[in-house]
Amino acid sequence: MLKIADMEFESRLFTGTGKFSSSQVMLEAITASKSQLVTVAMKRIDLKTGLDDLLTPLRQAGVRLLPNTSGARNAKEAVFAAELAREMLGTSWIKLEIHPDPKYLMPDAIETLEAAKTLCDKGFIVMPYVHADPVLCRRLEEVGCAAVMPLASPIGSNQGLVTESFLKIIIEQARVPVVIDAGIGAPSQAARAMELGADAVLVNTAIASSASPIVMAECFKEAVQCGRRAFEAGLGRVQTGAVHTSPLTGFLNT
Amino acid sequence: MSFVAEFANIPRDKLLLDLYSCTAQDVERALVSPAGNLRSLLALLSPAAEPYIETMAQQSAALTRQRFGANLGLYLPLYLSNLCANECDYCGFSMSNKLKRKTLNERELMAEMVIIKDRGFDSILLVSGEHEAKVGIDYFKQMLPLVKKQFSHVAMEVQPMSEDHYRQLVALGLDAVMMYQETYQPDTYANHHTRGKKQDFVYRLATPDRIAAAGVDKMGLGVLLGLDDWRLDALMMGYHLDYLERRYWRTRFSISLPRLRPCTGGITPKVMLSDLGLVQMICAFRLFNQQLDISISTRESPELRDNLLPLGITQISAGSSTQPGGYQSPDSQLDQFEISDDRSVEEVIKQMQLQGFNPVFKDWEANWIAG
Amino acid sequence: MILIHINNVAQSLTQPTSLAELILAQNIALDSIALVLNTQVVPRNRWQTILCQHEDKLELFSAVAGG
Repeated sequence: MLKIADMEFESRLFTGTGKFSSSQVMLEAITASKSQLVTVAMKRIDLKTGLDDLLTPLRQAGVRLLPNTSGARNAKEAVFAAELAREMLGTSWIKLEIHPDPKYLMPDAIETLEAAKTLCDKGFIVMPYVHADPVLCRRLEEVGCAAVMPLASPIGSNQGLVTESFLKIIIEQARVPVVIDAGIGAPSQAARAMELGADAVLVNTAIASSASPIVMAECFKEAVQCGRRAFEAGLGRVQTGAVHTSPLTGFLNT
Repeated sequence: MSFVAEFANIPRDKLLLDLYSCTAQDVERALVSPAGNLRSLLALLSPAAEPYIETMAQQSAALTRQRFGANLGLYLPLYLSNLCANECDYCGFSMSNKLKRKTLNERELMAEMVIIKDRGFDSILLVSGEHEAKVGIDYFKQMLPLVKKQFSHVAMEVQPMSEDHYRQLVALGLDAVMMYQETYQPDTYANHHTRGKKQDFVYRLATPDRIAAAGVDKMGLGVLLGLDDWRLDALMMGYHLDYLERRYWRTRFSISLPRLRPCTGGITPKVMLSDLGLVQMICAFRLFNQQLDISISTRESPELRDNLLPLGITQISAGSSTQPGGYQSPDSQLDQFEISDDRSVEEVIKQMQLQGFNPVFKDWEANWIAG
Repeated sequence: MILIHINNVAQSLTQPTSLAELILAQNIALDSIALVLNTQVVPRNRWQTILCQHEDKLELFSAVAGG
């Protein structure tokens, strides 16, 4: 079973709550996905329109909430957002994301490391969203992050595992769970990520923006389970060059 | 936290059973994804992998060529002292052995270094017995600066030290430390180490953590193959390496594969490691870890060493003497162990070049850092 | 009478008002928001006891959908 900090998860599919057509569809999709960890963002309340109650149905659905720091453009803002989230939701879990670039929402490695250090020192369970940078992931692990969340491709792009070579290195080296985040656009890509040995994937856009989010959520659930089982079973060899002679070890027989 | 806690949780008895119940299927599966995979390492070290030795060798040779090119590093041991306060039944330096004891002074050290430099070496391994009182941190701090003036890469193979002492030596230019556990089986370890500080299995086991924490650039692990079941000891070394590499990812690692050899008053190996086994071990570790340095010493015969060159090793000693002052006055009967390959460095280099290898006298990375 | 700002909207208060009372007056459930008073996050358990002061700047945050 997947374990992050001291929490165990049966499902290795994390989902987001953004971009759904209605909160009813969102809830049904999350339920269909069997996801147990769901991200939420934070926003200043618009007093004119009031607030739509996101939390009550999510809490009823029994999922664990993972607030994120989206909107933060530097470490200071991210730390502030994390403290807000802790106060609001009563959880010290935080998905740390800092993207000063509004166009592609690329994570800022330098600010993220700084914020991660501060937040870990303050006792947060920190899960940073980062580029698929193996050294950065090790540095984040060293300052105490509970997991790392390297991106597969730009957020919302549905491009799949563009960073696969680097994800492999991160998975090979990590001593904390690796959650592949961002850019996973199809169940087959999620399955591939799991086959590589990722501990979990986070999918939002691909489910929310599907014409049938609930069906798609179920597809991702199955793909993640399938990929994980394939990883545990051990994948077959891609090529076998049959070796008939023994040019390198023939000396052992003489 | 050190490897000691992790080691306590490794089910050694079960792994030993697993090693000897591996099937051909397990080995074939292991060959698919051997890198960084301890289950695969187990299968590749098992008897079931023996029929796959040529496949392993092909893969190992290709991986090594890809990572290291045609380069093969050359180093030489320089024995500082044969004083030792331990009793280890496999070693010629054991305290009870009637042996002329000698520790190099500055002048003698200089004389040795002149000869070694003259042969072209720029990478040196300083070796001593384990005698903290007479050949301890103060002695090393006195000698290291002299050595560092002559050699760009300096490694040490001496008694385990405290993190602080390692740190002091790093400040004086120490590049690498070899710390061999000898065997990862506590009972066997106790049987072979019967007097002295080396009896402390756990202190030795935690030493690589201290070496890495002190900021030593490179570290060498090793087991004395033959003390116990070499497959299990090799696998345990794999676990140790895996632990260290994950935790201390800035550090570089090497392994040595010394087979137990006869020495003055010595013992015969409990478990023989055949040439086939040695090849299997080299290849298994290469498949497990592509960037690992693998060393072969002059304990092995010329024929075998020549055949091993392409298989995965990256460092080789040549023209070694294993006694203090031995380069200046050979045959003074102070040896730690017997040398099998007594060819000169020129002869070894010639053979390397004949096989298309490029002898390298420098350790590139350390040299580059030193600017 | 004192003047305060909630999420950049000015509001006047005629009698002493605690933070909790102020939030409830906006028709907002206490258990779903976070409150920042003059750039400091205020723990929930102090909302009953802290009274609004003249020129206080309050910010209310809630959870919203996001990835």
